Amino acid sequence: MELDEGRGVPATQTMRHAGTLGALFALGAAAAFALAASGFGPVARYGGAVWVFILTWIILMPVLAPWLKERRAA
Amino acid sequence: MIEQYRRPIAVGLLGGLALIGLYLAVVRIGSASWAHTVELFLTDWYLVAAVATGFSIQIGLFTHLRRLIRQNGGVRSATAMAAGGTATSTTSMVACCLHHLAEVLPVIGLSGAAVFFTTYKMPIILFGLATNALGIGMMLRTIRRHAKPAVRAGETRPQTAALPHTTEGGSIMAPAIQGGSDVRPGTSTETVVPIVGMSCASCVATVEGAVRNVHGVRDVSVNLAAGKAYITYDPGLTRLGDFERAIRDVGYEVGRDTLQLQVTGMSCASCVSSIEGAVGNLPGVASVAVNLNAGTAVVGYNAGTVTASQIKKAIRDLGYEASERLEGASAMDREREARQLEVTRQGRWMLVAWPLAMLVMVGTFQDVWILPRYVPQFLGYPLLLFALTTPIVFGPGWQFFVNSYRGLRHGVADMNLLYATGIGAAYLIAVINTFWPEAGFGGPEAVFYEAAALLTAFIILGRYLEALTRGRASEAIRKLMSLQPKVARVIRGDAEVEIPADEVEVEDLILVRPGERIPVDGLVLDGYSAVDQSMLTGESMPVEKRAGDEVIGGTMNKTGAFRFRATRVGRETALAQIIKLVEDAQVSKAPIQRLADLVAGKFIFWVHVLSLGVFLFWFFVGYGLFFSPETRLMLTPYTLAGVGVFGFALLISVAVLVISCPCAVGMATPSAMMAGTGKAAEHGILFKGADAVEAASKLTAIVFDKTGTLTRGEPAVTDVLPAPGINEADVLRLAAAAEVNSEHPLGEAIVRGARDRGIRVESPEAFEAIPGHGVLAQASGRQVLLGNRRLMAERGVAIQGMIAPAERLEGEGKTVMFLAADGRPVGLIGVADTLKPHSVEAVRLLHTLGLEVTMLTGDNRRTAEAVARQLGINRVLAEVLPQDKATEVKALQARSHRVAMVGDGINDAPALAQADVGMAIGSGTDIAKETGHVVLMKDDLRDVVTTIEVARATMRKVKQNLFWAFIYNTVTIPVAAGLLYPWTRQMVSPELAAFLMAISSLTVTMNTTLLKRFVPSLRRQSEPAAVGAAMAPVAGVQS
Repeated sequence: MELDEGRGVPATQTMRHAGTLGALFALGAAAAFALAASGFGPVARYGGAVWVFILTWIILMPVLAPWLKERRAA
Repeated sequence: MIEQYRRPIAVGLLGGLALIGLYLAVVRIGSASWAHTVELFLTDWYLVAAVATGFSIQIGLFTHLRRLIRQNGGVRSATAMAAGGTATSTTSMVACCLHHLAEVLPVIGLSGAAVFFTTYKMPIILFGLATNALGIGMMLRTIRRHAKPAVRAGETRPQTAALPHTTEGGSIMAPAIQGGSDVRPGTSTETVVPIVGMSCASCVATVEGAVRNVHGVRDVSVNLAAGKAYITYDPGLTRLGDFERAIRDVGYEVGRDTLQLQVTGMSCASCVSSIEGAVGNLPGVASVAVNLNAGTAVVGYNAGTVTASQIKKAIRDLGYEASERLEGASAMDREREARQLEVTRQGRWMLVAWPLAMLVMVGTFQDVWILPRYVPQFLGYPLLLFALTTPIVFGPGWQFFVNSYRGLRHGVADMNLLYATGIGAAYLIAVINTFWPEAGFGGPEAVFYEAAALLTAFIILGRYLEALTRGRASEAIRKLMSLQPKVARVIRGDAEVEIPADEVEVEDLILVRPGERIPVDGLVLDGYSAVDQSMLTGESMPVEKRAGDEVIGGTMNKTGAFRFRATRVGRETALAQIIKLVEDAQVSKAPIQRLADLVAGKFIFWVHVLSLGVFLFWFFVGYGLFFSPETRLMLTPYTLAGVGVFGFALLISVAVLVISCPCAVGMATPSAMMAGTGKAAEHGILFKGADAVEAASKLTAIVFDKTGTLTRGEPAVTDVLPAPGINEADVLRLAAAAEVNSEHPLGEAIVRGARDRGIRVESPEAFEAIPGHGVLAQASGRQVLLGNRRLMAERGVAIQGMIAPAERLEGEGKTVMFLAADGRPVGLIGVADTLKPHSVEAVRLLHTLGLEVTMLTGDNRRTAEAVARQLGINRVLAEVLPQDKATEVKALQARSHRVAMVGDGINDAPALAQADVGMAIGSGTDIAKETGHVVLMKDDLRDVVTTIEVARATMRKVKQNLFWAFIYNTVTIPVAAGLLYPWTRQMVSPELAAFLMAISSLTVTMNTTLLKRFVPSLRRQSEPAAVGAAMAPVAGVQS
């Protein structure tokens, strides 16, 4: 089993946590988009929200994963 | 105790929150408005929250339990626990999970049902709470049961026992912990893991990220061009299998070497297990399968950590005999096979993708230009296009989705993600426009099937071409590896035995026949031959070898047969060290690469940020301000009149993702470095690192050590001036007879000079050395006196007539010795160090390259200046003590010079280290070669010129590559982001973006391969070097 330095937390778990946290943030971003796009049609509004969710999550993963890892190592 | 439950509880709470959200959504569906929803929710939200949290805690605890079971090797039943706490089975994980699911599933099911199906009915929720509490209690009980490792009474669990062993069909996955139980955490070891499937810089970042996450890894460096990961790790904490798993997890294959052995002496199953155990415990062995009936062993291992010889030795140490089956593929063949596999794989996908993509493209444009005349109308039906595109996306294109998912699981965004989002979005838009044409993505007029299809096809084409061309960059290494003969003819007793070359041991006697390659390094015992060493040293002429001469493994024996004694074998041979040196250089990173690495490493992240920003801009601002119904996709007749705001913004966003290409940026430097260092190796020049290449390209000054570098480093007779009535031969014969027993360098030079001129040297009847002055001898019945002016004066020899020519020779830096016989002067002899061939030419060429050339020597100024005059060197630093050589180099650097130091001796080592580039010549000492940044294999100073030329050519290529890579991205990304749209009303289609992206990385790769055509200026010149001039004697010798 892969473990994070110092804390003995499995590395895969760190990744999962990062994924979950990223998804939560991305969900927030998507919700914000959906709110901001309230004047648009449902396809544009929710489709856009999905796209924002995907991109935000992708952007956040490489940021959150090392951050969490460093935090645990510290 | 609290610590171990914190995580499952945290997961549970998080899950509980999510379930509350779900609950809220369910309530919202059943209510008329949000206000009513909130009202309903507030009625009993705390109970719902409690049930949901309890439910989630159960799931969290179950995950924890599953890990405990895995660690402890299986399920422990209550009966077995009662009987003494032993593990009763090692059933598979599937069985473990089923067992425990069966225990807790009813509880989870009941509580789940309470939440989801009855929503907010108070009694049912209370029931849910109770069942949850029961479930949690049961789970805790089971966890406590499994919390301690299964240890039998009186048994000590070895440290490695917790690691998983898998036994499959007679093979075991070896634990491969370095050194078994002897290894302690805190030590570091390095291994090289070959990786298959990397195509660009982001792959490097992906693999590095994945391996770095493995616990116990200290450092990792991945070389894309070499396809290898160099990993420094703590063998007490991790093992080879962990790296392999991490690398495979992110979508790449690990190249593993396979050793097929013939094992004799096995008689029973215990022999099998003992061999498997011994070999399996070697560091770097990943698998071993021994077949008793066939008497074979197949070992999967990492050649960077363990060698075939070590594996065979481990078997022999057990008392069995193991020999390699000769037909086993070599490492080079395997590397080629692995690359071929990738070429075949992508080629196969191309066969699927391209025909279908062309059909889709023709079908999409069926109504355009002259196509309606030739293309049937049905080919343009969206449903048919859907049917043709789907196999492309889910066949050849599926690898990008899988790999990007695996990358994200490890927190890494790579190129696959760009491809996957691009292909996925284009395909999704097309599907929506086919089945829901009114959704606002451009309607039935704008199905982008050809975008998804061609995007996939172009990306696969790019990968295919890269797999084809990338291998060529490491051709130098393959050429070197191909020099290694597979078989050696060893003399055992009276018989000649053919054995694998890697089994030759030091002190073995080896016979080499004409036309055969020499298997290992050694010393010739008897026989005579000419050996072609050009493949290693670049020397064009074969070198004569006779008894006492050294031979180098991998060189070609041309004419005669000889026997030699092996002195260096395996990794110690010159060839193996050269290969390692070239490999090391190719894996190292030049300073110029830092910027490229920085850009390539963060590139994908920023591209996604840009893509999001671009999407938001065009969605909220751009579409409203600039959209025109005349919108077209570039280079297509497509109009996008019906495209909605989301479709429009999404198309631009996807185009930005697809057109961006960090591959070109990432490949620019390493591919050129690989080609450059390989090209240098072909000419007998070994760069020890990419930084040396970069530094060598910027040199402005070059410092030569004199003795042994510019000159031969040993005195030779240059002038013989006889007295009137006496000939030169008599002078030399007498002088040689007087000195034949002398050990003084000057005496040896005179004896050698006489013999070289065909003069028979007699032994003296009497000999007396006069320290500091010369010698007195009785030879040929005459009293011979040979020495300096003071000796002649002391013995009363009149040498006035010889003073003038003596002073002339001394003015040229030569050492003059007077010869007298029976008290009368008979002549004088000038002795001097001589220039090496090509020294003059090398200095001249360096001047033409614009370098300031300096000579550094410990000799006196007069001698040094005489040498410098002959060489055409203007700047001389004479009488420099060895310890001050580095200071002189530093002084040059202080004058803003980029300095190279060329030297051969131990006393040059500090200066070699101080210089920006230290060049050690191959004939020099090991210390000099160890210290230098560049090793010149041949004793030819013109290679200094070639070194600088190769370095400059390589850096030119690096800069070209970087220029094209940066320019490409700088120009294309803004265009794809719609910068020109307000004026042109044209957008970049995803397939055009994919095409440009594939072209950009291909441009870099192809540009690098042009380095193969590089020829040093010396090779281009047809006229031979003015060797004669260079041989002129110039310098005196310090006695």
